[in-house]
Amino acid sequence: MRRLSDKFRFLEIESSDNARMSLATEEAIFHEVISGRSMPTFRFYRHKNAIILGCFQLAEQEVDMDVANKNKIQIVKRFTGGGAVYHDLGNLNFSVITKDNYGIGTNVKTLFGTMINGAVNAFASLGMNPQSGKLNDVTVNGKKILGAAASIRQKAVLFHAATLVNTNLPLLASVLKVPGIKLKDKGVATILERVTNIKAESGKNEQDVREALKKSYSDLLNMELVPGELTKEEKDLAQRLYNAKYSTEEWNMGRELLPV
Amino acid sequence: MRYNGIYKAEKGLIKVALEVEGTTISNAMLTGDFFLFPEEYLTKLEGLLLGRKFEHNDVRSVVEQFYQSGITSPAVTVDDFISAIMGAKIE
Repeated sequence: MRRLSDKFRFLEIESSDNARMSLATEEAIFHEVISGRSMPTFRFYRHKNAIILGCFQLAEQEVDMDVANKNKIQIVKRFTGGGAVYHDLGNLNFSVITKDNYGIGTNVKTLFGTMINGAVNAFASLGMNPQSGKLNDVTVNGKKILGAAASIRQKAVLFHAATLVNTNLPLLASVLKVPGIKLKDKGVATILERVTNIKAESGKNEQDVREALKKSYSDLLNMELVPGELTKEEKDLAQRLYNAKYSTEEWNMGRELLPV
Repeated sequence: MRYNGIYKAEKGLIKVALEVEGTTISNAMLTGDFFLFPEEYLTKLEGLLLGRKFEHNDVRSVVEQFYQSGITSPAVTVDDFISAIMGAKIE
């Protein structure tokens, strides 16, 4: 018997001009979902012009600072692992933040393996032939269109992903420093050979991608999306996290690891 | 002496920067694009390396001790961290 659907709050709130506040908000939502005060959440958001580093990365190792400064690219550390990504308004981010009612958070590979399927199904529904990679990415015709990261805390999971819809790929390739050892592993000589946009691959636009992801994750998690807002507690916590962590150079440019 | 290394695991690069005085590790920083849970525990591994010998058996015992504290790292193994650390070379 199919169980009743789970209500998820649907958020399209973004602070695209300030990716540091955006990531503070992401962490605040995660805390409030962990505590049970906030509903499970499915969120879309974008950033105008930013590099988002994985929490174990060091900015100077990953970013061509001359290119970043010249293009006024904001540098932000997220609280999840994985690699650096470049975001502009042609990149659509989404996150699934929920208590682990699915039993997927006990094994990290299962978490990625389950959650990445929502994206694979969405891209297939848009007429592409997506392949999931070793763990946390999705490719089309051998080129990456999505990279994901995740965290697990107290029987709650957060899965978030960056989706290349129509991003400035030459800028992405020039600002991110990817070592030869990694490119060689992917069988390419440059980053530009390794990435592609959904628009180029399928002709689909951002709205198409949003609708496809909403549909595929609703099916995957048996979720019913209910449009919502940030709670007062989330807004207050996001501001505190922004002040203490996400606005600081120590967090963004260094390699501090602060507990979530 | 300062030692640096870069190592490719099945999923993720591990970058290693060590300060070694004589044969003893006096500073350690591990960076990269891997996943490790809980995330903030990585600094514990760096702390555990301090004062230990920069040689295989000592590094192995530190990394194994670290993983016994409930660490998971998809597609990155104990042996990957040992190889990454021991692969660091003088700058």
